[in-house]
Amino acid sequence: MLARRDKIFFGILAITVLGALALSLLLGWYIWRESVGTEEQRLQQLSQRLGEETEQAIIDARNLLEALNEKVTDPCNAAHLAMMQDVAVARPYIRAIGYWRAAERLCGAGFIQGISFTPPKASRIYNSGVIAWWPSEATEVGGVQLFLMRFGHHDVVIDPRLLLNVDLLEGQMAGLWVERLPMITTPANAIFPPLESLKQGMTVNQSTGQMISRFSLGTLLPIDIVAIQPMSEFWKRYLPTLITAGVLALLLIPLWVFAVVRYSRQHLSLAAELRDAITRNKLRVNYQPIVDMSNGRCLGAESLARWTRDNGEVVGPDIFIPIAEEAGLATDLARAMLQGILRELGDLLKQCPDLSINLNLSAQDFQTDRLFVHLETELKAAGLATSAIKLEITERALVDSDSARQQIRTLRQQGHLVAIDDFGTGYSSLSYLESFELDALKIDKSFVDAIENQAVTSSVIVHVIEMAKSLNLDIIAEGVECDHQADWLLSQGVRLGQGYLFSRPLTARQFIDFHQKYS
Amino acid sequence: MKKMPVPSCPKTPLNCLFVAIITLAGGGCSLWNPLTEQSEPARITSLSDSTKSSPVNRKATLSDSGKINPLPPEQVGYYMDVQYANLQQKLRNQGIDLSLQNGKITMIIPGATIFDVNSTAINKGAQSALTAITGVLAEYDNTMITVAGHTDNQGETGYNQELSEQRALAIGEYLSQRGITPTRLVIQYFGQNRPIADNSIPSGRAENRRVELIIEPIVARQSSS
Repeated sequence: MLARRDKIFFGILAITVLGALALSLLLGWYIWRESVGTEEQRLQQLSQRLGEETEQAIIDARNLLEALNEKVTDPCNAAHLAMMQDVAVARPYIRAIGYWRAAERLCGAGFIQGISFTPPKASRIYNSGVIAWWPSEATEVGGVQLFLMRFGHHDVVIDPRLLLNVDLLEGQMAGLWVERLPMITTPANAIFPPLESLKQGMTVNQSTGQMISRFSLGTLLPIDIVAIQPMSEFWKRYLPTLITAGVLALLLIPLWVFAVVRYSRQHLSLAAELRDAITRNKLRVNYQPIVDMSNGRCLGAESLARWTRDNGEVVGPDIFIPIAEEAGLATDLARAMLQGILRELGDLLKQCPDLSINLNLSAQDFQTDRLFVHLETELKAAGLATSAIKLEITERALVDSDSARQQIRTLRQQGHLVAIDDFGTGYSSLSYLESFELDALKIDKSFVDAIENQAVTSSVIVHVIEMAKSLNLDIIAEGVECDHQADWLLSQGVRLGQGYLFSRPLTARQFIDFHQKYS
Repeated sequence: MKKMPVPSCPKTPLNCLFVAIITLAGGGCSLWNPLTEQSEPARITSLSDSTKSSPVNRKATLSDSGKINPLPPEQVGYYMDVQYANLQQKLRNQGIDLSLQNGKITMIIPGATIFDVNSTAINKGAQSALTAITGVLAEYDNTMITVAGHTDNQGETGYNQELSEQRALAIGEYLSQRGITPTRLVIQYFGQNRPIADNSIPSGRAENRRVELIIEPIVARQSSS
């Protein structure tokens, strides 16, 4: 018994822990989605935007140089200088525009006048004739390394800092690569891992505690944007999410534990109370008369267990029968019921040998011979024939085992009649039913209810009746509530019935009176 | 065809040293490499050693007049990059092979695009390419231009020598007539001695019939600037 209790205890513990774990996982997933997922999406969109802006700026610069080459007729005259000044001022990232002859800057416009860059080695020379110098020491002015592009006689000086919008990056360490060559980093002295070593998307480097993201763009020029932030910064950004998740955890997990404890305590205490009620014979037996519908004679009754708790609360069989089965009390319950029947109706049964009381059995009762041994000895002690107690087995309790078949066979040999209860609500087929030796079949109330309503469902009951007849089983209709149903059943050859049309469940005293009246 | 004057080794006009002159095979003159500023034996000499019977390599000059400004050394890289890009832009889709290596620009012009078969007269069809080249050379005037003629191995060696010489000279003349200082021009001819492709197949021979233009910057000596 203790082992069983331990099992239940550990079961509850496992459910509590698993439930809390599932909740934690759910919250973890929520945090991940709301923080890492959102951050990745945010950086991707940002990178996309910065990349497109950079590409746009470079293409714009190239087109600008081409247009200047075409327009210039008299280099370095006032009109030419004004034109260069206008286009430079119109573009924030352009620092200077120059007009060159070979390696000699003849004139120009812009903020950094008078400086002519002639870096020793071009970064890229394109087939179109465009030459570009990526930012380096050779293009540095005032501590800023500039990006240079020349096409024909004109060149343009671009400040790459204006390609990487610092405001959008919210103080993150970031870098911009064009054609896999570094263009600009923020802050200027930031050191990045080699571009090739970085994976696309967002990765977390645990050893340095950094979150690194790389997003690439490749419409016209291969552009890479890399952003690095310490994990602490990242968590700071998603602090509200963390707090939300934490509060949810603080709320949900205790709630779950509370619910489990409450449920199990109620269940466990009910089981303990039920055990107490069984051992102290506190359960009462009620009797639902079974009558011959053709003449109204009472032929017997189905015994029903009734449990009233000490506090006066009536617990229905739909609640305490499953608890009894779960707690391993089903056989004790059946035995208590048997004792009650014999105590209350022993005399009546002795007087009327053709009267019988039905006792409900559960699947547990077939696991051992315990109940059947009791049945035999107690009936003998009461001086009653075995036919006085009919046994009802629910369809679902008919376990498909040879031992159960053997037990049923033995019970019938001893003189008990065996009926199948709640027929039609399980899944048994005719052939399955045939493998058991049975005496009677009880048609479930739901089929009887349908008689007055619909012809369609009624065809199911017709089928059940035919099946019972083909197996030579007696038929008892449950839940008969009106004359119409009784008439119909009689017309189908169903003689026996029980239900409110004849009587409600009765106490032993009432049943004795009922029987006297209708015998 | 007008014969060019054949002077001896010239004196250097400035503090840089270069040769833009014809020398005969085995001549004592040496060629100044403007990039490395090291003296090295003229290639002509070694080449002719292997083929003594017929001098395969000669240099011709158009004139020794004019003067070339040297570039400050720190500008050379930029100068050549920009010039190369300029040529690339202007010679797109002209069938001219262009490359920039070791500070030198090499243009390989297929003979068929400039000359008719066995002719030394410049085609009308070659005008646009040559005009473009002349324009760039005129702007980027701190360079020396070597014009080298080559043929395939068909026909007599002597005839090929002559043909390559005449074709190189024709181009040199064309350039000088359109304003390129003759002092900047070096004319070389190799006949069939320097194939760049397989002479046994027609496409290889077509590649070997060519004129090469090699552009090298004139650089000021660092110590003197």
